[in-house]
Amino acid sequence: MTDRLPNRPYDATVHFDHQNLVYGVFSMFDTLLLAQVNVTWHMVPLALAISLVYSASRYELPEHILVRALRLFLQILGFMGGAFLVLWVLTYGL
Amino acid sequence: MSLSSPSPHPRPWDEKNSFVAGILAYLVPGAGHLFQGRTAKGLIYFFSILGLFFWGQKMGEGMVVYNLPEKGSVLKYVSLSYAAQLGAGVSALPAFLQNRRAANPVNHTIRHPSRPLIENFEGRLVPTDNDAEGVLVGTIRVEPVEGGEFRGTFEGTMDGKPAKLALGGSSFELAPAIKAGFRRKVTCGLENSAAAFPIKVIEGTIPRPFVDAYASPPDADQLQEINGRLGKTYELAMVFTWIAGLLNVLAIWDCVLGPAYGFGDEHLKVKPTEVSNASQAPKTATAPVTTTSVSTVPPVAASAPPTHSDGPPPKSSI
Repeated sequence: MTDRLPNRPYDATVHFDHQNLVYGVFSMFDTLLLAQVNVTWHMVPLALAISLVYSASRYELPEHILVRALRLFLQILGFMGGAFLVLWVLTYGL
Repeated sequence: MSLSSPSPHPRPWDEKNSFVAGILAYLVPGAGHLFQGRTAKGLIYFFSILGLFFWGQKMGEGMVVYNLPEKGSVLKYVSLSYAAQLGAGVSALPAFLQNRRAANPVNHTIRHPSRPLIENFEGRLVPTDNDAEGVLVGTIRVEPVEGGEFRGTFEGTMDGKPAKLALGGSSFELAPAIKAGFRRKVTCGLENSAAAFPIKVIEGTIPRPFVDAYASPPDADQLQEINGRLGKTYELAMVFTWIAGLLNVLAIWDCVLGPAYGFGDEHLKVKPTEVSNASQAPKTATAPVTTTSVSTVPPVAASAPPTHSDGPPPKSSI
């Protein structure tokens, strides 16, 4: 943080800390990604890539690939979410 | 071929040399499809597979892809882990070469420098009794002197303050040149510290060139350290690269033989056999051609003749 100069009124525009702003934005980005919080969130792009490649190997037309990939992606997420819920219920109170 | 019925679409996998396309698809995921003119699929494969592969590499800090065959394993020349990664093509292939380079007797820990060393250094001054300790960032210069010893300097900062340390003596250790990890461990004794006990040293790392670090095998200490530090993130990094390699097998198959299920719009079309049956129906029939395969589509689509057909257009049933 830049020190305030003597005999000069505080001016927020002068003392605006760009370094802290950049750091804050990246911190927020990290938090939004949530990858720093729990490694399980890495499964989302993994499921997306698997869905895309699998669907691309089944169909030729791009629009069908995307629709099928989205459906498969949601199925995978749903299955993982269901497994998470079951485990969460089973571990309740432990 | 995976498509049994005549298709209204061009079949690009039959138009170019399948062998060349397959090789390209293996070497760089998606390249075979781009060669065949299947741009959208090529880009999907390229970004999905290589994205997974290099994301895994990043998560594992570059110590994920390596080939250390286990003695007594079924696979003699590759480890099971590397066998899965090998599918990713040219991104994983260097591990074969790096394994041989790392096993070369010349590639060993250096305890007596034989030539000058000037590198960026990051590390710390090892704390000893009543001594200062701190984080060192700067440049290390080391040159050999007679008697197998060395001398040199460290110039930079210690805990953010300018610092200059004189190095020398016989306490020097530099990790092998070809090894996993993009930083190379180095330990240097301070000058005139040989008489002291413990010997005052600085320890840290200098950069390791990409060609020496990429896909090089880590040693047991490195594996233990990274497993302990990253935990399941490291395991997930391995999984990313395994899946990337295995997914490319699907991409190669698609490149050589075409998509497994077809183009994806077959349910909108009338099968040729059904069309021929319909054409033999009495001319007085007024019902549109309906089959079990088209019964679920709207009437307009069901009664419309198939578009982009390779064969002659079906006769009208009206």
